[in-house]
Amino acid sequence: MNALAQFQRRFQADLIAGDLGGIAAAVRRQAGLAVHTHAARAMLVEGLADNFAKTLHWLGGEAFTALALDYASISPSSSWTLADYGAEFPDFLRRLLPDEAEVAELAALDWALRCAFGAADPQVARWAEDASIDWDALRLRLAPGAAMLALATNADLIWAAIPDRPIAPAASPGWVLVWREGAEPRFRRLFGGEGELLAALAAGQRFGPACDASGADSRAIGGWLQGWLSAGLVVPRG
Amino acid sequence: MIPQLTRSLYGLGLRRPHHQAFLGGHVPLDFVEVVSENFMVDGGRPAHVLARVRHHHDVILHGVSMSLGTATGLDAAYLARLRQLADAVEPLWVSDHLAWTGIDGVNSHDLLPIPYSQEALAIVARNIHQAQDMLGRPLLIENPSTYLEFHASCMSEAQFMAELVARTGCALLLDVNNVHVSAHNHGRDPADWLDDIPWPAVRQLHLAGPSAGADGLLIDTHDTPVPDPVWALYAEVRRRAGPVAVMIERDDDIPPLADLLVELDRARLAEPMVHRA
Repeated sequence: MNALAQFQRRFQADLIAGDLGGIAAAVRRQAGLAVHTHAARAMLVEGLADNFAKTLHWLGGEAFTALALDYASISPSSSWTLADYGAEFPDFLRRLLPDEAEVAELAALDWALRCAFGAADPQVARWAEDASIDWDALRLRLAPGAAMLALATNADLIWAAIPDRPIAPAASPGWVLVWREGAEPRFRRLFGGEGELLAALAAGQRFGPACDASGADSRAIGGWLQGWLSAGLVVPRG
Repeated sequence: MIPQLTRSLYGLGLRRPHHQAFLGGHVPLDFVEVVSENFMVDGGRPAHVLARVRHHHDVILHGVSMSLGTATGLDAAYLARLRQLADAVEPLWVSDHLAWTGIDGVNSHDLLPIPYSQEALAIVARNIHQAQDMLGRPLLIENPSTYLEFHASCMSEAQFMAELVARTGCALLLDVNNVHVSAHNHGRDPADWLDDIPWPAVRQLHLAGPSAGADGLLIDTHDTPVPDPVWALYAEVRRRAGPVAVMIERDDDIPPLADLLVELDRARLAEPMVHRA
């Protein structure tokens, strides 16, 4: 290993730990060390604040920043852009705030919308016009940028109400679909079995058995499928 | 090496509050500089915005995560994605900083300093060669604002950059504010820095404003107008440089576009008559 690599590993470890005192002997003036410890953490917290804007609003700046700093100290960024930073933040919040389930679910919604923002442009599903498709055996997956969130709370309503209307958290189990329409990320709660069926399909179940298991009538399933295809939400696996 | 410009160019960075104005296509600029990483995405609004901006303006791709100073080499996936973007945009050029941002797959998103040693020189030159090969185009290297100087350094930053130019054929992006900030932080005369720069390699200038930090340090915040000491240094730079691309960098507390255009006019007025078309 070259000496510079060794030094950079030490520098980086100390930077993540928030104290560059360990490399003080290598520099001429130590005041600059604090600039980097502050800047590196500030960048990550700023990135999280940008990616989880509604979560930030719900928690308040002080609480959010404290949680973001804790997250940053154990979860360094590994992407070339801060827009990708925070994939594990919803799970981190779920572990730290087990009695406030709406917080982690708000964060999961923020994150799914963020992912949809820069995903590949959705395409109308021309593949479904192929008459030779064996629909019974067909396995589907969600298109890039689309996501299914299993919520236990009304986090979707809280998200939509921020910042204008205060709304109390409440139990509200169900599925929320996130996707992009044109340039705009969207979400909607799915009702009447649509969520369960789409989640089963997204998990890789074959189309026919999944439809049978859903218990929904064929007219409802046809309507849902038409909506998924026209929005480019599902594509065949493999 | 990127060919010398035949006339100076004046531009701004593309920032979110000004997107609408840029989409209209009526902003009087020679070029628009974009942060490469913000557009290394698969689709959506960023790709749409960049395509529209490119329709009206020349574009410069300015990166913050290439990490040219990383001792273990560059991220090949990053370079491949940047190559894809550059091939689509056909920018005037691609630039990044003389700094490292992380090692072993971590990105601090901070421009971290390197010692100006012979070992570091060999590593950065190797990395620049790798980047230029994979991107299929020469790079511009920008001097960063620095807050640390290392005992291991055996040459000045400007001498280090001159060596990189000689070894790799890269060109230079001089950030005048960064020269001011680093000179202030290390108690040096910025004129000495200018004396060591290989001026024929300079293609672009950045202008920005710093903020006062703790312990008497200046911090490169890009959240204030260009201050008088930077304008004074800029005037000296213009006496030494040939035609270059000049831009105002503003990343925080972003004013109306009209205010930045006024600052850019001041930069235009400082151009020596001999370089004006």
